Amino acid sequence: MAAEVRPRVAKPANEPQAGAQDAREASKVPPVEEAIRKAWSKRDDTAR
Amino acid sequence: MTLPDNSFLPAVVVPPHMKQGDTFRYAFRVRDRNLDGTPGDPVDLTGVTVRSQMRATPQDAVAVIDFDAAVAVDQVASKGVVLLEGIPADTELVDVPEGSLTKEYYWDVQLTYPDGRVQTYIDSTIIVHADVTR
Repeated sequence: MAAEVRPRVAKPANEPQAGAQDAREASKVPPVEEAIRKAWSKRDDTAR
Repeated sequence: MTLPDNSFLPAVVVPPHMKQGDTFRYAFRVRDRNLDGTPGDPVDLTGVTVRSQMRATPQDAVAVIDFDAAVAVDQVASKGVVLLEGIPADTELVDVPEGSLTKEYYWDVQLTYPDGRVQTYIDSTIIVHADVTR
């Protein structure tokens, strides 16, 4: 009995994985809490 | 990508709370809006001036508090951040009627860009709590 064998195709190593785009987008924008904390800190330092 | 200016509406935020006689601080970050409605990148507010007042009603001639308001000095680490502060000397003068624990006031936050464009980003109320320990 003959079996059909299909070659397996490997994904290219640099192919983006699901969610990778979202993660990249999210990483561009620092968390708002951190941005605000730094802003108050800078302002308080300047006021001293 | 930013939508045209005429698509803009100020945010109605959850009303912050202020205690009579305490320092009041509030901060937020301005971000662009993507065409699909999702938040975009923070906006560089270099050169932008901020004004924010609180009144008993929006039509009142007298502002109850004129907040000390400004954009964050460091528009790299704190890009898009706006800071507001009411000092104790001002917050202690805000009236809360006798027998009441709180009173609601109106406020908004207006930014003026270097090109002259004026944009109001917050349009809301502040709940002021009566001071007990004084």
